[in-house]
Amino acid sequence: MIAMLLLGAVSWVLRIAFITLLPADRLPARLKSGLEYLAPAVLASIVAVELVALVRDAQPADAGVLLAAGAAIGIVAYRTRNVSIACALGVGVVLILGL
Amino acid sequence: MEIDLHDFSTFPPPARQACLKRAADLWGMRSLLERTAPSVLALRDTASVALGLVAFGVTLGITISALGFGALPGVAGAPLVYGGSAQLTAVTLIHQGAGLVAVVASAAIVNSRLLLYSASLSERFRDQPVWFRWLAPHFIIDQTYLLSNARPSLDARSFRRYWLSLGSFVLVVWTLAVAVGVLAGPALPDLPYLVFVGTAMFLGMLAPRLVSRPAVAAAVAGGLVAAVVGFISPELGIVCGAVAGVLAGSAERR
Repeated sequence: MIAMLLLGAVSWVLRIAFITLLPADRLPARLKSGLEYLAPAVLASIVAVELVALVRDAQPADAGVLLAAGAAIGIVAYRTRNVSIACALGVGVVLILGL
Repeated sequence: MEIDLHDFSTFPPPARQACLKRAADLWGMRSLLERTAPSVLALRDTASVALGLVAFGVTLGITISALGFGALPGVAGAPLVYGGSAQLTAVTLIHQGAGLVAVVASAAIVNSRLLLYSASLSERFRDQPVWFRWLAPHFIIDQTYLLSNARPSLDARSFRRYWLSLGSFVLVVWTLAVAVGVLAGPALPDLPYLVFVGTAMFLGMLAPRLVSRPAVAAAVAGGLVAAVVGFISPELGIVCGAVAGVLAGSAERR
């Protein structure tokens, strides 16, 4: 429990760092403008790390299905721009592989 | 006197009163809509990512339960840490017998991308009340940052309402999902790839953002660097990918 409390406190400091402690308007302009691309960069990073972890621990056949499903969901999401549909397709893949 | 439909002054008094009452009703409805809109937006946004959140939360809860971590710290950690990857790292390291400092430091590294979110959100928190700037950043996680990032047109007041609603809704969904995983984990069917629903959610959020060459460059560079670094050191993958992606996006714009 102490670890959770401490980690919560440290995470809170990270969260307020550039909002309350050192407001980002004091950061260099180039750095601030670069943050415009943070969302696609971090999203692709999360997807990549999660896919690497999933594929590394999966059976070879399942790994192929997961990678193909990831690509297909990406295309569907690009066309539909709908997160819920992407999640629903993810549930379908999980059920097909798990049941 | 003849009634001219284009001239309000020619209307008989009862008709004028009816028109004014109708206008007041419509104005009241509009005010109500304006008041509730940020919360409604937040609810709609939360619903769009709920499946992914629940899948990851239940997976985390099952892992906490399987590792023999207590139910109370496991569930309480969800709203306290409010970061699944960091909590998962902490729980795993505690299970492996790591010391308190090592546990907190390692999990904090996983959460270090919060610094980037904090810098990116700074402008939207700038004109907010002091209490909001100190307390509301607790709601910053991947989903809340990314969802609010897709709503740039909210003014300061609407953003405040939207952010508080979004943070609360997501926190409740997340905590309940972790609690279900912790408490009902052993009774749930074994779904080894459940976390893939979360991956699908992030894919769903990524694809619509690939609208310019710099954004695509940021995503490609971020994904590649994260995959390579994440393969060697999973806790550093996301933050290294995020930094690489921001640099690549900026370079492509120039």
